[in-house]
Amino acid sequence: MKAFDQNIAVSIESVSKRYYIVDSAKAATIQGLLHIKNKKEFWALKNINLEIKKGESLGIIGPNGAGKSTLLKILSGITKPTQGKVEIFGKIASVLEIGIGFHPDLTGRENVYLSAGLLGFSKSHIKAKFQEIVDFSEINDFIDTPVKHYSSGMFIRLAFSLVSNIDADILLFDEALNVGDSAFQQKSTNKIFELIDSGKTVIIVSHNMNDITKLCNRVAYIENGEIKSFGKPNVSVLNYLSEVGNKISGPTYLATNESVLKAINNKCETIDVSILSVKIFPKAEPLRDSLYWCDELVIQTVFKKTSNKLDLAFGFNFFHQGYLFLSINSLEAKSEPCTSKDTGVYIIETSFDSGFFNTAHYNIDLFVSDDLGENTLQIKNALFIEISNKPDKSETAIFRNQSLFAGPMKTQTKWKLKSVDPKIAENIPYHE
Amino acid sequence: MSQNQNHIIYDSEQVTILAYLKNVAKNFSVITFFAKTEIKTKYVQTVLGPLLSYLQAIISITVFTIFFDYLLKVDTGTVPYVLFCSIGLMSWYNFSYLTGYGGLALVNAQHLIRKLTFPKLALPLSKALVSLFEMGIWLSIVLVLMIVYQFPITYKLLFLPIFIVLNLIIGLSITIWISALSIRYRDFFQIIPYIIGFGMFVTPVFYPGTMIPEKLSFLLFINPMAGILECLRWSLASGPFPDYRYLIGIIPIIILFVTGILYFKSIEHKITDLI
Repeated sequence: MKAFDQNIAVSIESVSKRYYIVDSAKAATIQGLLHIKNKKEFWALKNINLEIKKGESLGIIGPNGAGKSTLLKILSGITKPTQGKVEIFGKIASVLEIGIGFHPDLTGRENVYLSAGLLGFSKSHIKAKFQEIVDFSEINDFIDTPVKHYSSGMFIRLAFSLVSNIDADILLFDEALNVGDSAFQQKSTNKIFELIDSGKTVIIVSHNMNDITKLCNRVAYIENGEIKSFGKPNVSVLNYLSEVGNKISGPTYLATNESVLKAINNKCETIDVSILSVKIFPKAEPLRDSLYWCDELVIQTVFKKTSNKLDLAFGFNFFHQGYLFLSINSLEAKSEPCTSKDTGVYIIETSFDSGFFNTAHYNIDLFVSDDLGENTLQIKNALFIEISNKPDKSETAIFRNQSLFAGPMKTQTKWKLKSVDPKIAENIPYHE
Repeated sequence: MSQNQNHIIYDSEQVTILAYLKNVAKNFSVITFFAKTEIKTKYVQTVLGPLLSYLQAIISITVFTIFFDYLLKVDTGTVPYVLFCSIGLMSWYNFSYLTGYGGLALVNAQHLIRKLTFPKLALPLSKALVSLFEMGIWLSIVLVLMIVYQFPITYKLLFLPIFIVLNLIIGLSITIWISALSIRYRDFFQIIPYIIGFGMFVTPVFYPGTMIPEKLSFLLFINPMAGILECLRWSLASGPFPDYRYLIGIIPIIILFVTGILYFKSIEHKITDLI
């Protein structure tokens, strides 16, 4: 039986939680009296199975309403599971809200003692830990001041200090990590590392993927009450982010939608140009519909110039996960200036090597401006591309995931391995 | 092994009433947390602190004495009116505090209920502790009056704790029901203050029960607070031994108290989801 495994801190066995969508008290009473049963049910958690070992740190991620907080509530015993069973081995302290139970009119000292009692710790236990708690929170001078006079940072520091120093075996945090100023945030992160190192089990719910990958050694990605992925932080976080990415931007597209172009052209009157088409393709095989890493890529823009007053400049902004990562424009072109004042229909081709792109998704904005830079036309998300590895290339799944998560850029590198004589190992020349 | 204090199981099973009460007792620190917080915050930023409670008590006693003793000349027999009404008010204020605030206990603490683990019964029980603290203040006044009027300290005083507990149980039996029902129906908050205000007049708080005509005496016997007042006056102020018919009011209260706890237990696990 699992209960006898000494290494398990928390075991969650096929836990489900049902909520009823409640009507107003009046409606519910009338329905109750008339024996009308039209309760709408809603499963916040569906058959969750997890096992958390002692000394492990588990991160729980997922969109709002996924069931993360419901799971934490069940783990901390605030609400009961509808089905299934949770077993906890050890003293648990849950922080669903930092500073919960603090009364604004009481002093820091009173609040520490009182709310520790609320978390289930005895007065003598807190007495022994009190100085540690106060030292960590750095509010020595104000410990006998009512907490309503604290700055919000001080309040949170004391509250975090209390829960992280009371010596529970298992700690649950719900979005409680980014507290205080950046120095204290660093300190609290280090504190959590310290707790994990000293063998505590930590469970963290957070929307901050950096915290999650930094602090947790396993991550569960929950959506619609189900575990979508569970395992190494990188893998789960990646699965989550790509799911989010898909939801926000949908499938990739290598040419701008015509209706988008039409709308933009109609709207834009200040600049005498209309964009007829924008597309991206690999130079080598223009008809291939996937872009491989290290392809030479071409963005082809067809436009109609309707006045001969001014010259035009073209540019593209590349975004990776919402962050601008590269900006290029025709004024900085290496080739001779590609400009023309005359009216007419033109094709402008921008080509670049994709070797420095990572294997990831990128949004591309197009902007056109007259050469005074006063009027611009912009097409947001004109293109949405995915750079992938060539299918024939051997790659392990983990490397693919790592590189996908590693950021916007990558570069072609050369690696060389050779064996050397151990006698000259101390004195190896830089180059041969 | 599974009964180890550090091994907790959460599942959909219902616990036995015994295990439930055991858990409440184990969380006594939580009950005292709520009580201490309430008492401490009551005197926050006051100069007089607990003296304020004494002041309030003394003012009430003075007003009642002026009206009913000096002006209306209510006959309380051998017991001086000051002592008579002090005992009455001590008991009644305990009851009215407990039912007035206790019913709100769960609703007012809903932010804590959603985020913390503790037996919810601790909330109404903590109100009983606070009301007990207030009662202590009144009791000290009563004891001083007993000494001033040279009332003998008799064996009857030994029964006082029982009567005080009974007084709390009367308040709690109503409080537990109301706080549990108020999770769904908050109608009670509007009604309770009226019942308490009205109840003070039909209960012999500031007049002796003997003033009620014999024909209407059943009104006294079905009123548990009337019974407990007789008991307290018997114990503290050499009043007559209470009529056994007062049990008519007190026995239902005990039943209400027990069923209240059973009902509370049956909805305990739903409170977080419903409140």
